[in-house]
Amino acid sequence: MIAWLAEQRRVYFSNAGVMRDFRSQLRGKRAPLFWSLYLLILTLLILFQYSTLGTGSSRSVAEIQANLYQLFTVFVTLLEVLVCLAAPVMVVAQIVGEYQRRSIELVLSAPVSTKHFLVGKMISGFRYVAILLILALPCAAVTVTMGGATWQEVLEIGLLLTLRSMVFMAIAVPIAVMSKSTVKAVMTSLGLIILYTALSYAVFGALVLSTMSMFGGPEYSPASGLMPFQTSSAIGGSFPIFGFDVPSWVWSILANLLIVKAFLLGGQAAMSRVGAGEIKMLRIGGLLFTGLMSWGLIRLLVPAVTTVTSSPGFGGPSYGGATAVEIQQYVSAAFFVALVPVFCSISYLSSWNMRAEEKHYPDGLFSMRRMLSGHPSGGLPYLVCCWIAAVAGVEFGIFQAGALSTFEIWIRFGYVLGVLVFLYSLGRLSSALTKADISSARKLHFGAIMMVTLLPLPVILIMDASSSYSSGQSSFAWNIYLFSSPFMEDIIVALGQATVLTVLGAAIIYISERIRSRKTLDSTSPIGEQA
Amino acid sequence: MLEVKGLGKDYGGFTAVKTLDFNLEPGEIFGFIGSNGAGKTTTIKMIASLLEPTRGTAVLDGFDVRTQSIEVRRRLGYMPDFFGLYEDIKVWEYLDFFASLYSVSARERPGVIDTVLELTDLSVKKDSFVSELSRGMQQRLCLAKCLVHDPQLLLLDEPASGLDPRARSELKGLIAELGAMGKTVIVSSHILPELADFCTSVGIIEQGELKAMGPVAEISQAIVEEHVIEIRLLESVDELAEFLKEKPHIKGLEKTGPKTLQIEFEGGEAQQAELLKYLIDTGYPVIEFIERTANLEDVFLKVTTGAVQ
Ligand SMILES: Nc1ncnc2c1ncn2[C@@H]1O[C@H](COP(=O)(O)OP(=O)(O)OP(=O)(O)O)[C@@H](O)[C@H]1O
Ligand SMILES: [Mg+2]
Repeated sequence: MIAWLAEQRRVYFSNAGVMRDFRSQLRGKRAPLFWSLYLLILTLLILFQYSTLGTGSSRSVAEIQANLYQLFTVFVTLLEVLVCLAAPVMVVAQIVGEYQRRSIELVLSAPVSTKHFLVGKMISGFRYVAILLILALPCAAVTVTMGGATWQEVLEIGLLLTLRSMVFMAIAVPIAVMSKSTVKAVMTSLGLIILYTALSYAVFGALVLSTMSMFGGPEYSPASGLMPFQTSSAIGGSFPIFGFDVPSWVWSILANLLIVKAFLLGGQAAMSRVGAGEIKMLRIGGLLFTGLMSWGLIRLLVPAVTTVTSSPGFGGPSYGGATAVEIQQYVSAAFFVALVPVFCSISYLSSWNMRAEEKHYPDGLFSMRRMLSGHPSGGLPYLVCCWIAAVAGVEFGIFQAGALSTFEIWIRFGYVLGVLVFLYSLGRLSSALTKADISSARKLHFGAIMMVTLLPLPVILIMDASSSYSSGQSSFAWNIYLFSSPFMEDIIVALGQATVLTVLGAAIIYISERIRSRKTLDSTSPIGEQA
Repeated sequence: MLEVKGLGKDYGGFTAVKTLDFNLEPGEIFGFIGSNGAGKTTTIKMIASLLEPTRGTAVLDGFDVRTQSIEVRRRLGYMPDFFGLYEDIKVWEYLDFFASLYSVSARERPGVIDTVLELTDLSVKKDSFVSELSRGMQQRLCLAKCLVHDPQLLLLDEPASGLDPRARSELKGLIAELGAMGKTVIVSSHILPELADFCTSVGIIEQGELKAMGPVAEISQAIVEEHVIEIRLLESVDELAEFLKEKPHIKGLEKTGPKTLQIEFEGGEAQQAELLKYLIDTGYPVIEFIERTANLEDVFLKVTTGAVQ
């Protein structure tokens, strides 16, 4: 316990790397210039906005107040964009620089954990962000004194922006650890931030909409605390949990820190060797997340429906107010949301290579024992376990909501398993086909996933359009789009697809392992003879 | 004390290090020689717990590099063959950074920093920026950072590269001193012949295999059986060469100059003395008669085939 506390102190409060970075930051000459420029931009923006507001004396006070508040919103969003750009750049530059300078080995040969190293880099990066936020305070003060926002709002915004910058930095961490060039890493992490934004809008947007009706206000959903560029609408309000009114900002802190932790763990795992504790933690965390997320979403969605749906009986038997079809739709949604991290990391779980430096072990296909270690043979078992966690979460949620699962839902579970096996098989195939290194296998795999998920899209659209003209019969039989409608509607199609995907996946895995074993023989034998 | 047990590393299908077994005691200075790509760096990185071994393991003071890497790292100082220093901080700040990474308490740090700077002869540069140091000084700074936590094992991967002869001999002195302090030192090099005189033992690695290992003298003897004697005369050696050709114990002759002759001699010391006496009695004006002992370079060239993997 004491040792643990000492370690926490070493990581967060007396981090050696932070002190070192601080010393060199102090000596940087460009920073003050950059900050002055930033301050100038903010001031000009505020002035410009106010000048457009101030004219037109005929407006009512209320109108001007509303406009002022809108200005505040614009200001906050702008600040967020700046933070979003600055934060990952700082972290990426710090981490990639360490690799490029080749000073990382010296640091890692000291008894420091990967966490110590990465947290240090994040704190150093955060120092820049903190300066940006503090510099923005005078401008925020203007919006407060001239009306439009209150100090409490400014404070909450500050807190949320801090959290957001931490999330953005954390997103950049695993990428920085894995890439060799700063520019590439910055571009990739900005891309990932955009993806994260899109995903969070898709996922939490639906939540916000569904909870909106429950709590009566559009802005009062805790989920908006997780959505980038929605900071100004995430402040204020609260969310009842077990009867307690928990302010939204508390919820935001918890959720955002969890996300930070996840990405940080991702970075740590990327830095670690096969079998390291970090990889185990990440994988166990992924399983927990998948289970909890599917459970939580079902719990959130199903009761939300009970209050809205007033006409049970339509579309089949009803479960606590929701119809069977609706529940199935939520199940599918919950599944895919819960498995998002799995889809994001599937290339890392399934693609390996012949000459992949540290992490390569030609150790077979399916080893339960290695599920958490990061060996290739643990990839498929891990995917299956994620699936089990998701199923368990959904089932438990439905059970709690008083609606028992049906045979149809089970078929859809089977469909998801088929998808996972199929995607995994694509990873093995791309590993077998590429020779050079891990990253090209992963790129190939990613490309393949994009192909199979996006290619059928136009076909489906055309089919749907034509079928609605003719018979009204839907085109599911032809629907090969992985993440779409069959899942929601036709049980026979879902069953068929589950079977086809699983069989196809198994066949591809078999073929790629054949290719692979032949290659391994080819590449080892001459060296073996030399010896 | 370091025990290396069956340590080996494959990169995919390629075997960089086969299986190494050796033990080192405190105070031992182990020279690790091998040509380019022989597997020195790979071995050292595995011992430093920076690279996951494919087989085997190394145990330092009872701590296994595979499973207790943090404990192992506390006890070793590692100097890579290529490394970068933070350029934008001062020398003492650099050492302060590492001291704090190694959990040296803030109160002890100034003293420790002064000591290691003294040891590596960098005291005058204490307040300079790292970027202002010369290559050799940076090398020494890296060595200094390996010492801040008073490690038991030092892993020095080609520490002498980039140093001038003077700095090299100072480095030798320093390493010998560290050995005398009871630390185990592993030094790798291609130019180990230069560092040989202070190594208590050497290992020669070739294509990932330890070809020979033991005290320097033992290895030289085991591998090089014949002696080389150099003779210098006041006059031309042509006649002498003819004269010696048919004599016993002489395996080969080579004229290395107009007045110098090298002979490969198979006999022992008594026969050598006899040969010299015979030359003088016969009336050859001998200026020099020296046995060139086989040095590590010869051993090295002899053992390694020079094959680049
Ligand atoms: N990351 C890697 N991936 C694949 N092969 C590698 C890797 N690192 C080293 N090797 C190979 O392992 C062998 C041993 O390399 P190592 O760096 O240990 O040699 P070395 O003895 O230190 O050589 P040098 O004297 O040139 O430093 C070489 O053939 C090298 O090509
Ligand atoms: Mg080397």
